[in-house]
Amino acid sequence: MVAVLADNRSAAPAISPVHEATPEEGRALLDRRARRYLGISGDEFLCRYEAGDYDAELDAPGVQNVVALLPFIQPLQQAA
Amino acid sequence: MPRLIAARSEAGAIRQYLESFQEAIAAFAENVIFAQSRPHPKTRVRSLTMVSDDVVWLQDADGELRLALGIELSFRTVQIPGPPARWMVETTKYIYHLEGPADPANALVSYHWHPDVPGITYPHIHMLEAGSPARRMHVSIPHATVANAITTAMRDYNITALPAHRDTWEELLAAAGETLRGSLQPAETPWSPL
Repeated sequence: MVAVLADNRSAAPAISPVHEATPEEGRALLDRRARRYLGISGDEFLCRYEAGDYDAELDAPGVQNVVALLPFIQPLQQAA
Repeated sequence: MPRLIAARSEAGAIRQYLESFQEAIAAFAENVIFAQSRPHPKTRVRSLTMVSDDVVWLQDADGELRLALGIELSFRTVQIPGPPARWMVETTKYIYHLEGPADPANALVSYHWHPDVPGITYPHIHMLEAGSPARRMHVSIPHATVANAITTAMRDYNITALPAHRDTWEELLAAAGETLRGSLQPAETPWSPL
């Protein structure tokens, strides 16, 4: 049995609402992370990912840091 | 104890889920901005990450930036059969990692759970010492929360909460951890209002 979250937390820090990223923001985010963790642009990462270049190392640190962000652009891809 | 969010609306469930993580992080770093993706058209999965920077910088008692924490979460909402109609959140993936302050980033450890990768559906850690063959090892662990990553940083790197939150950080971390644990298998988790 688990407890249901009660909204009575005390002294909660001030936080900003989480916004829904635009497709443009998502692409910029993916580009920044691909450069940080893999040393390539977001576009290059997407080309390699779609070509299956990462299929054998999807679990690798670095790769997963970027793969985890694909939902930020997938709705845009599917709508295209 | 795992803490299950059961809200009257989908938006309310997401807000409570996200706020638990945000409040825990806010006890250690200011002005951290998160963004979520749109829900995937088929799976309804959303992702959460930080957009104010790629990582959260954690400081020690002297105010020195000692470690960086990265977070990526994926989640979706699940409707609890009613009435009354209620919504809960299921976590579908998480990645936390700790980096040293070197440039380029000096990754130290990653906590991974990405059950969408075939053959590696279990939670695990990667020890990320540069050049080590151990980088590719998947060391099996119980589910980890952002609280586990931060308490490791506190113990091993003298990370401290911000002065304004030194009396509350423990409660905030515990709440974030319990929320994540409650969201791992929500459809199979019995719940009751207290």
